[in-house]
Amino acid sequence: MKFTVARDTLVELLANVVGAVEKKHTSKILENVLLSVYKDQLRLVGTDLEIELSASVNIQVDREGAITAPARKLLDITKALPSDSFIQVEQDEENSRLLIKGGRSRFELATLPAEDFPELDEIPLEHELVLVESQFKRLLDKTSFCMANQDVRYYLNGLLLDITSGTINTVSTDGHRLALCEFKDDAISVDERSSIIVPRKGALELSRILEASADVNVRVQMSNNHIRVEKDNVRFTSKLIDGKYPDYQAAVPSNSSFSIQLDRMVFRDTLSRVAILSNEKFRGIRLRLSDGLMMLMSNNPEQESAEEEIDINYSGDVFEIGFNVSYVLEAVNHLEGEMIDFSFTSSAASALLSSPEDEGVRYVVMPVRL
Amino acid sequence: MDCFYAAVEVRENPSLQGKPIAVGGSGSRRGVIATCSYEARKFGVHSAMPTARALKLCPQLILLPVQMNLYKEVSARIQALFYQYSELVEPLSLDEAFIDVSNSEHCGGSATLMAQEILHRIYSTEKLTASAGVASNKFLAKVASDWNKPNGLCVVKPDEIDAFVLELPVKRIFGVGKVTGQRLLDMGIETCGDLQGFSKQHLCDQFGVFGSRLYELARGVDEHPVTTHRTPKSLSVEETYVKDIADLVGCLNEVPVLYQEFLERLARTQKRMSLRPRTLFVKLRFDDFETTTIQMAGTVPSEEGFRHLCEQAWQRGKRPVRLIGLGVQFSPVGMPEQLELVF
Repeated sequence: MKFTVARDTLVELLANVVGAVEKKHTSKILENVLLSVYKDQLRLVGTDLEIELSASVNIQVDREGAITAPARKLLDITKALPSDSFIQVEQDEENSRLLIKGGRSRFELATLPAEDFPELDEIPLEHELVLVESQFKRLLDKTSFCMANQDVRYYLNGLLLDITSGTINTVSTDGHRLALCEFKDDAISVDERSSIIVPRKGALELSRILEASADVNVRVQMSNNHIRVEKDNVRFTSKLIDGKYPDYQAAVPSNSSFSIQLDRMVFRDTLSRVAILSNEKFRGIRLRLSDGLMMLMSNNPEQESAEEEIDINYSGDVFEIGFNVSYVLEAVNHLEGEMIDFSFTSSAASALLSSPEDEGVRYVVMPVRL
Repeated sequence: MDCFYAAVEVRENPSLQGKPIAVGGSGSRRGVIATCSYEARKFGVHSAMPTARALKLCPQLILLPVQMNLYKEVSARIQALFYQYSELVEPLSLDEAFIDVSNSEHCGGSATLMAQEILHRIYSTEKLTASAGVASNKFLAKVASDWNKPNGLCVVKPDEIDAFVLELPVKRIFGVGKVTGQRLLDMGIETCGDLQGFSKQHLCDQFGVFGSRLYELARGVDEHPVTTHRTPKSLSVEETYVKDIADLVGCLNEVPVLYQEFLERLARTQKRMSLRPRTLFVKLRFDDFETTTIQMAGTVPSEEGFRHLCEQAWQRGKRPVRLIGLGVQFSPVGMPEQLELVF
């Protein structure tokens, strides 16, 4: 195998697939990236057996072939070579080394045979739809931060994509809070509802390869076990979590007792200040609502405390509720718009955050009993 | 106490005096050694060793069954003695306890004299020997108590702490076992003095929260108070099987039984105090004695959750299993309670 490629092209290609590759793995080949050169095309593949990322580009091919080499080292080397330069990559048949030459630099990397690389077999993908890249990214980014991490309820360690004709919902929850993003578009047409759970790492990597500003179409294919997303020259494939996702609609409070409106930036800054003296581990803060006023309070095990007031449109009995301040802050940070709605039912029931300028996005947060 | 169970057995049957004896479960039933006499230790026998192995090392070993009720009785009498010196007694096991005598007026307030007196009284009433460590904190006192075993006393005065820890092998630190010990050795650390050369940040990067504890202990600093009653940090049940369980299906079949026993114990514990599970864990010991523990966040223990963990743990070894354990870790008491979404 031998080819020449622009340094910037190779950096971009590697950056696209390296996310799937484990930094450390007992199986060395999973730390490697597959490079294969056929006809006039270079294709890179990275995988952790759960997700696979591949990217390809047309280049000048001197000799066809395929090999695997350490992904991160290759990326580090390529990145360190001067921008706008050209890199020659060559497989040394005898020593089974990968030679990388750029300018007056020369590197030799250890390799493993391409035949041993666990590429996903061709998978039958039954459903297909086309989405606008930026809209798809929004669906992921509005929700992915609420996914559970290493929870015993394994189906929560991922992101739910719930697709029906005319609507796509993305949902994530760690059992303490829930994020829902609803996207309506008559162009979405599916034969039957499909609810799939993309594993945590897959959801994060998928978002990483999508661009918020791009209005191009991406192709989404699904089967019972896999999801595949294709965008330009990049292809993302992930296994799905096999499990039954909880009924998320039931977790979204439908008739709260009352709601208040808050200036999002003012509320966010206040929360950040009061958060400083909350318990580092449990992050509890107390909100006390009285006529026209919200008082935010925190204290920590050292008995240090913080208090701040915000004017609000509330009248009625004094209402107190506690939250993990991180959950509220993250929700407020992920909402767009000037004002947000904060709706309550009781001190022991879930509260709802939303914004009139952020259509379809709802954050549900369970309180903390302080 | 010096080889407590074994010493009690010798006292009850003086003909065992001077012979290698051990208290523990039978080798044919996969028992382990609970305690053994110093004569047996010369052969390399030690506590927690499988009995079958101990008998190989020392064929003339006299193996005695555990008489827990007898040891408990003796232990209660000895502990009662401690309370005559201080209310702040923290038993670690039947034969070991911390006593905070900071505010005690006995022996003119001298901890050293109190320790001597306690050792003397244990011997005169029970005809058993014990060892004591006197120091300004629990870590040093514990290390010191092992220093002149058996029947010994070791005092670490405040101005001797620096010199004392300098040569102290890190293996003496509670929590430094085979794995951490080896990792420290790889870093060129054998003594607490070596350990002092590393920054807190560096140790935390290497060992997580235990790193900052290591940093302090290496300097003889231990702020943990003597606590008289403990709230459990975790609750678990485990079973060593008479015959190895061959495969995963076999293991999963055992989970419901263990889970039922766990639920009963959890209910009993929660009757006494309100404890909230924070993580669930499953422990497997394979037939090659490799032990693996896997844990996950989870506030609601469920059979399904434990089965799931058991499956993952088994994948790490894929071998016959001799022990299965399952349980939960609790949230620290008095912490705010995060409510759960209801689906």
